[in-house]
Amino acid sequence: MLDPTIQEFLQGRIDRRVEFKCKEVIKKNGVIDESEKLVIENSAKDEYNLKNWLLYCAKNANGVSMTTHPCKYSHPDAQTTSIYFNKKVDNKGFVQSSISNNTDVLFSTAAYMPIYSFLRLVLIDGKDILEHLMNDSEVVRKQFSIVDDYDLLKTQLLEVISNNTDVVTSEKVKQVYFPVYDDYHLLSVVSSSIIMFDLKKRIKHINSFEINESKIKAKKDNLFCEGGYKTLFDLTIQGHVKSNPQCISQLNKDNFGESYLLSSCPPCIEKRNVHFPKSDFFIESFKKYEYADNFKALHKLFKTDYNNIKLRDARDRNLQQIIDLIIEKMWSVRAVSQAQFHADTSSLSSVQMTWLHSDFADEREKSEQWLNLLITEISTWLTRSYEKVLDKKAIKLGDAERLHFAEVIERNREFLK
Amino acid sequence: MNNIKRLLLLPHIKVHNANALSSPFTIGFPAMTAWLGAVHALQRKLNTQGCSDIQFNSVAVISHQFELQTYKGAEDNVNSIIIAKRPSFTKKELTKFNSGKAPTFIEEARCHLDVSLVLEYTGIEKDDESEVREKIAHLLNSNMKMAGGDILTFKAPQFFKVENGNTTDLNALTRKLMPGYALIERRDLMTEAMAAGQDAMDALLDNLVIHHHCEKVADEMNEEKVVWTSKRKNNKGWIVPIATGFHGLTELGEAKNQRDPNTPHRFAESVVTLGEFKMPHSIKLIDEILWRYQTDQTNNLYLCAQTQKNIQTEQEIENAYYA
Repeated sequence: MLDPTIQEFLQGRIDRRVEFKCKEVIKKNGVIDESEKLVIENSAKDEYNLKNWLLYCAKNANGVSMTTHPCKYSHPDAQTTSIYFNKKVDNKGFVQSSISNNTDVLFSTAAYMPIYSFLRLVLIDGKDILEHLMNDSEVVRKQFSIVDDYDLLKTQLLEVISNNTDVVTSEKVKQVYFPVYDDYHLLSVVSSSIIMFDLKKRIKHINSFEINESKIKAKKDNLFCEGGYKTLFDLTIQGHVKSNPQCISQLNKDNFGESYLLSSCPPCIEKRNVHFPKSDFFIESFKKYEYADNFKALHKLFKTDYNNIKLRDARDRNLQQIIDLIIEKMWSVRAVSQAQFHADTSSLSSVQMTWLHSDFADEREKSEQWLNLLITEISTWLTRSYEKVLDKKAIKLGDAERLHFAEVIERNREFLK
Repeated sequence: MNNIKRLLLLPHIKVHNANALSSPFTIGFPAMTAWLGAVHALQRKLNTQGCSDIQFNSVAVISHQFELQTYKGAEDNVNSIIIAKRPSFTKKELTKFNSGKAPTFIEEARCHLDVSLVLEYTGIEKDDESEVREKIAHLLNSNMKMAGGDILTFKAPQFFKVENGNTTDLNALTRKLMPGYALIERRDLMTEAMAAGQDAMDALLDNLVIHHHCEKVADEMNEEKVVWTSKRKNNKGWIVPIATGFHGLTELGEAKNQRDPNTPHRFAESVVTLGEFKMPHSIKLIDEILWRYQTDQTNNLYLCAQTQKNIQTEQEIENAYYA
C-alpha cells in the first residue's frame, strides 16, 4: 500500500497539472467540454503515476544538489562543485560553518524543485524518503517496488547528495591567493547561505515588534518591565534576484531573495552636525549627556574608602575616556573651523582659538604657552563639570585630585596640539 | 631581541569605489584581508623592481573618512542593495530598456574612503629610503588597486622608527594618524561570550544590539522611580563585525577552472569576528594596531590577526603529523 504522504503528493501534482491545462484550454477556446477534461485528467494521471514520476526523478536528480555553500551568491551564472560542509569545528571566536541540521539546495533549473520536495516527504514512520534511501531501508524498497531496477533508481536519486570526485570552480567565483609561509594557497570564496539566513532569522526575532510590543510600550510610558528588550539598528537588506529567487537556491526562495547585512562602518566626523563654538568650546560643543556617565563612575570611585591599584586604574580609565572625548570633539570642530568661523561674531578666547582653528596649526607646533593655559582650562573644566553633574552629591575635590587631573591631561599633551 | 620597529606610513590614501561587501553578512569597511592583500601586492611589485629584500610584515589601517554607497528610501527602515543578474546589456535587454523596462543589473556595495596605512618593514636601508619612497609613489600612482577600488590621491610616504616603550617615538607616529580610527581585533569579546555558553552568532549580535534595561531606583524622597537605560554591552568603544580571513571547507587539491594550476586550491568561506575602531592616540604599543597573516592549518584557518601567537600546541602539531 502506497504511503499516504506520497499519494497526497502525487495527487497534488495531478490536480495542479489538470487545473493548469484546463485554464490553458479555456483561455484558448473560451469553454472546455467534459470529454476534453477527461483526456487531460487521464494524461495527468499517466504522467504522475508512481513509476513514471520515479523515473522522471531518477533521470533529473543530478540537476538537484544539496549544499551548504551555494556558489550562485557570488554570481547567478556560476557553476561549481556543490560543497557540503558539515563538520564539527574547534571555534576560536569566529562566526563560521560548523555542524548543522540545515541544508540549502541548488537547482540547475527551477523545474526540478518538486524532485527535492518529493525526496523530503516525511513518511508514516517519521523519516523522509531521502533518509530511507541513504539507509537502504526496506520501507522505501517496498514502496518503490513498481520500478524494475530499484538499486539503479536509488543510486540515481542519491545523486542529490553525492560529491563528485571532479572538483570544479568557476571564473565567476572570487579566487583569492593567501600567503602560507613561502607559498600560496588559492581559495575560491563561497558564501554560507545557512549562516546568512540564520542571521536573518535571529535579527527578525530581535527586532520583532510583536514579541516586544508590551516592553516597547512600557518604555514609552516609563513603566517597569522585567527583562527589557533589544534592538538592532543600521541594517542593510541585500536582494538576490528577487524576481526569481529560486534561481539562486532553495533557502533564497524561502526567504524571498532577501538577506540582512550588519554594518561594519567606521565612525566618521560628520561635518554637518558640528558647530564651531562662538564663545566657549566646553559649553557649546560638549553636551552634558556625553560625559555624565564617566563623572558618575568617577564619583563612585571617589566615595570608596579604600585605595588600591585597581581603583586607581579605574579612575584613570574614566578620566582618560573624558579626555578622549575632548580630543574627538576637538578634531571634529577643527574640521569645520574654516567654513564656520566668523571673526566679527566670535568671542572665543585666544587660547581656544589657537587650539581649534586650522589657521593656527603652525603656531600650535611652535609655541607651548597656549597649551599650558589650555591644560589649566581643561583641569578647571573637569572639576566644574564633576560638581555640575553630581550636583549636591558631589564631594569637595582637594588639591590632590586637581593635581591628578592635571597629570592625566598632561599625558595627552601631544594630542591636544 | 630587537625592540625597534621600522615603520613606513602611507598617509591619506583616497580610495574610490572600494568593495564594501566584506563578507556575505557584513557591509561597510573593506575586509582586513583586502588591506593585507594590497600591501602584499605592493611588496611583490617592489621586489620585482630591484628591491628584492623588502618585506612588509604587518600592517595597521586607519580610517579617516568613509562613505558607503547604499540606497535608503524616504520611508525605509533599512538600507538596501540589489544583487541581480547580468552586468552588461544584451541586445534583447536593450530592446527592453528602450521600451521602458530596465534590464536587471548587478549592483555591488561600494564605498569611498580615506585611509592611512602603517607598514612594518624589513630590508630598507637608510640610504635607500628616498628611492623606495619614489618607487612606492610611482606604483600607487600607476595601476595599483586597494580593496577593489581605485587610488585617487595620497600624501608622501614617511619613515618612522619606534622603540618599544618609547612614548615620544610612538606619539610622533600616532599624531600623524589623527584624526582617524585604527581597526583593532576584539575576538576576545567573542571568546569570552562563547565561553559563557553563547554560540558564535549570538555572541556577535549581543555585542552589536542595543540593550534596553529598566530598573527601580529610590530617589531622594525615598520614592521608587522607574529608570530605563539603553546602551550596548560595551558602552564605550565602536564595536563592529569584521571579516578577518577565510575558513577552508574542502581538502587542498586541484580544481578545474582555477586561476593558476600550480597553486593548491580549496573552497573557503569568510570568517567574521568583532573589531573596534579606536583613535590611535590612546594606544600604548604600536603592536596594538598592527595586523599580520597567520595560518592555522589544523583548523584550516587563513587569518589576518593581531598578535603573532603560535596557535598550534606541541600536541596539535604532533597529531597533525600522524593524522
